[in-house]
Amino acid sequence: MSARVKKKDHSSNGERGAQRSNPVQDDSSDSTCVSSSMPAADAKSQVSAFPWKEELQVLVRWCSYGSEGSGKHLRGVKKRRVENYYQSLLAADGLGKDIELQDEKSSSADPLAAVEKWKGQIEKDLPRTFPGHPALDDDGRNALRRLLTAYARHNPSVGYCQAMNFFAGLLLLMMPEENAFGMSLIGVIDDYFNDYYSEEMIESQVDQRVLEELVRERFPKMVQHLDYLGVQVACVTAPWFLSIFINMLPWESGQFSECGMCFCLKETV
Amino acid sequence: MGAYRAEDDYDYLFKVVLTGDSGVGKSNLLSRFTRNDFSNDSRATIGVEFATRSIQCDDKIVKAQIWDTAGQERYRAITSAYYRGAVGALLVYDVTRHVTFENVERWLKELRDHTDANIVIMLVGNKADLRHLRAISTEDAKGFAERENTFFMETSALEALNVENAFTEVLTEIYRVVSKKALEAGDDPTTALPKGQTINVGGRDDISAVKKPGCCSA
Repeated sequence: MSARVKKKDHSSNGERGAQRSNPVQDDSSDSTCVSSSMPAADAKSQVSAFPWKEELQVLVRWCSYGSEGSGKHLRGVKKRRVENYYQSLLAADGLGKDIELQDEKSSSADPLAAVEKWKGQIEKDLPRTFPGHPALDDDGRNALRRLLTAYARHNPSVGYCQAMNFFAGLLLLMMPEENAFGMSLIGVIDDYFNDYYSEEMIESQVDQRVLEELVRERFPKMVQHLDYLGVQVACVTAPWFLSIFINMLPWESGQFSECGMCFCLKETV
Repeated sequence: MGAYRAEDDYDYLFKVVLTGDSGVGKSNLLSRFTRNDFSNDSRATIGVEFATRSIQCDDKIVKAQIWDTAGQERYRAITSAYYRGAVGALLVYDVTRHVTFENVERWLKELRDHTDANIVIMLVGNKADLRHLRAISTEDAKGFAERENTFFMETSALEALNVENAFTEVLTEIYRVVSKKALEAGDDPTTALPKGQTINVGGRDDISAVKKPGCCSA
């Protein structure tokens, strides 16, 4: 049963990816139907004290697929669809590895113009993403470039925002490129961080205001000290949230992505 | 508040912000000044980071709280709030990349829109060690700085060229403005610039962002 649930999850994700080939669709509608595409929605019908926990477990399971080193959970048509979509996004300027698969999706011409705007920023940030990490050699950086470019074309309203490079880089260290794109980058950023990284970064600002209020309430002495120093809570915490806690917690802990997801899921659910 | 003060040994606390395009070397300028450190493998700054260092001005200890902001344009949506209370700014461009100099004007506007009129601004041309790749002449930048009434200096965080001078000059200037103001008002000199106050330092034409009385906008 659980395997079937997982498959359902991927299929919705794959289709979601395919739908996204239309660049002019409304992004805001996506963020409002988050839970419907999640298997946790099934689980939610059973009363749970921590609904976000189940969702977190599903997400963590997603990530672990890649590290299991197989695409067996993503067999057949759906897997191909994600890969085709990924390649079609990259095919426009020859970034893709396999250009043979550009049949159905030809709509990447329009977002191509928009993506140029953040191309320069992506180039600047490639060497500044986990600098010195052995896995991010020339090949690794090329993969990161492809991943970020594909996302910028997939979601032109967000494009590329600094901080996404760390998340994408981390995914590449954990799973194959197509999985990183199809399952995780799209899944997590579209559903949980869409307006975090948009031009106005609205959700990021809202979350920081809310957090500041909570901290003010729970840790008045600390806030008093920060006020004295003229430092807003958000100045300290915004980078944590924006980078999904990557770079903030030790690599070895392996907990940072889980921790980051905890935060975003708690807010979303 | 007094309890906190006692732990810190300084007479003045000045907030200084580093702004400018992405990749011009803001973070390395900060690490060079505060830790005498330079990293070829620096990572992109997300949001804002800060560091402090104290210097001596006359017989006073001035503590600089330096804020390093992300350079990507969209981050201005959240970093503009961080300018609040800044009394000094280093507006950094890369002497090898013309576009970073072209954007200086926008950064300047951003600064002046979000900070007190008395802010001391220095235009900083970083990466001056890359002589063979230079795209902006010193004269052009100097001319721009004069027109905009800002200080100007070329630096190299890599070679530790002028980094100390740039920060020290900005901090000393803020100190001069503040202590003179305090003297005139007979105030407690340990407070920073009162908001909205106009201060005339006089004497030098190129003193940045120190408005003549009656002039209230950039």
